Amino acid sequence: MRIEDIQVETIGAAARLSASVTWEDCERPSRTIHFQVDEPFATYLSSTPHAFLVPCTIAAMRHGEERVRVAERICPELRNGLMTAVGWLCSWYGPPRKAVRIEAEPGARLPRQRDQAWAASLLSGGVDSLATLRTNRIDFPRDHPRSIRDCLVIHGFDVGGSERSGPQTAHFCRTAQSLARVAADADCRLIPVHTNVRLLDDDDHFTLYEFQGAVLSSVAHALSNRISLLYVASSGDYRFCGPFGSHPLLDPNYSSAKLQILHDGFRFSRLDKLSIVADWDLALENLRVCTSAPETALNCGACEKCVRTMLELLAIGKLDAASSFSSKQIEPEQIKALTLRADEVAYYQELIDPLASRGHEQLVKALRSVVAASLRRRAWEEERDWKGAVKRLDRRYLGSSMFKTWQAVRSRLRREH
Amino acid sequence: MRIEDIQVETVGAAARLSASVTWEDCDRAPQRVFFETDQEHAPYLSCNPHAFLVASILPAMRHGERRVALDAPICPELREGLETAMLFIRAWHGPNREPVRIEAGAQGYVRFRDTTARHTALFMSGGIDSMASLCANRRNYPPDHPGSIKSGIFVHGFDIGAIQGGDSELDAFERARTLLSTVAREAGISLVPLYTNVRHLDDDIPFWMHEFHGAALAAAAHALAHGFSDVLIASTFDAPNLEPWGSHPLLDPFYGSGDLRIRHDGLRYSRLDKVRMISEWDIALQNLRVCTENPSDALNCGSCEKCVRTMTELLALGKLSGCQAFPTNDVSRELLESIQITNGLQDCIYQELVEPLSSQSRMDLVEVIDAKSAQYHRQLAWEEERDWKGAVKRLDRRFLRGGIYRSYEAARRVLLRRRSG
Repeated sequence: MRIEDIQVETIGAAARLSASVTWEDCERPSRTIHFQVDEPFATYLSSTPHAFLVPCTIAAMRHGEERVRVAERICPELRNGLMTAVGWLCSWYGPPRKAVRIEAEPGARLPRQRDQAWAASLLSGGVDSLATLRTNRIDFPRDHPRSIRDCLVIHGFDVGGSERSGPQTAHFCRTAQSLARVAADADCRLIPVHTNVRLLDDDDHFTLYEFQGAVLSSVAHALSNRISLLYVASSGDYRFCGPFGSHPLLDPNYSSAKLQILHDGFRFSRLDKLSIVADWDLALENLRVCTSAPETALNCGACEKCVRTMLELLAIGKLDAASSFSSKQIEPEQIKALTLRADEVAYYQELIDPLASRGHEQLVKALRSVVAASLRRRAWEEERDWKGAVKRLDRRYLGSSMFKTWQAVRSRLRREH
Repeated sequence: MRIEDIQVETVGAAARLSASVTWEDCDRAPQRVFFETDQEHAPYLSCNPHAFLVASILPAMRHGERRVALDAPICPELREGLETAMLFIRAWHGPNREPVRIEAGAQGYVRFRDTTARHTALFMSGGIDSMASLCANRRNYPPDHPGSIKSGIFVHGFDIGAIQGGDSELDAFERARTLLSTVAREAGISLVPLYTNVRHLDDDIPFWMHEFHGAALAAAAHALAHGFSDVLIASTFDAPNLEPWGSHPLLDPFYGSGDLRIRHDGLRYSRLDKVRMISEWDIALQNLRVCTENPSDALNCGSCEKCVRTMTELLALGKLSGCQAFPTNDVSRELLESIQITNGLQDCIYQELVEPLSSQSRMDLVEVIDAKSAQYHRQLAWEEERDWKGAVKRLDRRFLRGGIYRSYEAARRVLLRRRSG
């Protein structure tokens, strides 16, 4: 993969950092990747190769590129970190992922000495990022180098991030407007950033489990004339730190000498975070967790994330105050219709006791049922149930003859039908 | 637990930062905890409460203290970090460890450095991990890069002179310091000696290894925080073999504060990668100190597991014959047979040696490694109840309510009584 022609230019009332990215060892289209901000923020853009090197390395690893080549000097700290991050991803997910060679100009890219640190956080309007902003305001005095001064809202990540979804511009504008109020209340400046970096590989599963930390970090690198430290709010907590695309073992590796990436909030459970957010009225009014990008609202109230968050709000007695959810009613059928990913089960388990203590017996019953189904499915996938024991026995002692017989019978039955 | 009376003073030719630590909820003696360095590096010391807070928090947690109280303001970044680190330790080592409440003076931003310029240091012991970190840093960072290591911190009181009431092993420390100084000179860094008794807060060896040593190293870094912005702790593990350990990429960074970053370094290199790097840097190779026995007349005893492991690694790379840091320049079958593989990390390290030793036709050593590894895996399968005995035990517990086990215990007691009677 080659990263070339890095430039900052003015396009109408916006400033854009861009580079062309060409794949060398796989048949994927060349693209011009960009990061764009409105004119008042133009000076924040840095013509740094790091903004492209971080996401390109992870995407290149996935698609078996031998190298990532950039004809500029890079920071050795970032190079070291990227090699470590790739090592983690290869170790978590295995082949065909393999280490990618990073080729850059000899010598090191040196950071300019800064007069002061400048912290920013990503702000999507979700529970994690609002909790990070809130705890930072409560815990850190304003003169502390980690006190958040800017909030970044990204167009091209969860909103308008894939070719399938389209640009979803209206939803992004609505989101940015609502978050501007939240940022102002926190005495921060909201900086909307438009990017197509996710299009390097917009597969949702890849983004979720491998790519998202690199994408988010790349935005901060693009703005590193301003930002020296970026908070990435954690999705998980210390009890469940399985492989994920944004992770305390990954994100800090996307740092350079000029920009530090911090994975924040790992000490809080999801309910802890929601309780923190719920004590901040303006945040609760502007909470946006929805993955469906609805036409006229912040949240659809029907997707898994909406249902989960509404349940959580109900569990802490705050659903009625959450004006960004139009419906306050959750039906057990909505819960029963959910198919939970392995990493989502804990969120629902955490809700059972508080909902039970508030007397929501029907919802608790539905929750127990959906959690149990998910655990059964996981046990089946990991061959921990009795069927798994038979499968292992078959493989180990019978040369998989039971499996082969079953396959033969099944294909014959299918033919007959 | 209370931390009080933090002060910096001159003691003879040394400068000392100290504080009194008093236990409140368990019957342990109060202690004056200190960090001491020579006059040359005395300006690095300051009345920094973070050094004592980081040092005390995990011993306090282990012994059931309800709080760590100190009268000084602390950095909110450190407070958040310590709260997170305690949660990880509890998740790894069991719910009997309750996170400790931190009671400090006003929470604010207290700077212990008067500049934003970065100055990076590395903890050096002379072992494989820290030597490899220094080596990789010298290769990858130009001297004017802020991540380029400028100082090495060599600590007395951790692996040398650690045990309360035991031999201070000052001779061994000074000998190692002299040799490390030659490495430091060649690497263009200054060597900062630091003497501390912080490990005496709880010198239990498993606690030190599995929980405490990252925090203790970070505490030493805070003691010297006037001099450094970034301090590197060299990783023991590589990423694929990482497991809960006292110094860990999920712990060490949380011991940092607003003006001191603690970084866990070298996770991307396997042990053999590290030994290879060092073997290509002669001065580091000749001054390696990996031994845990601290012999009185040499850097390495040549017979403990760590010595044997490192000698075998150097042998596998064809570099042992040119290394004078060990008493012999070969590894015999008998020597390798004298060690035991007792954990997953050791097993991976020895497995990594099978291929290079095979290519050197040292099948005698390969056979020993295979046998030791198989023995370790049998033991592990037994401990984790994955072998046939484990299957019987699980069956017994699940369906017979431990009936077989109780019968076995009763029969064993009868037999023991008969034998003794």
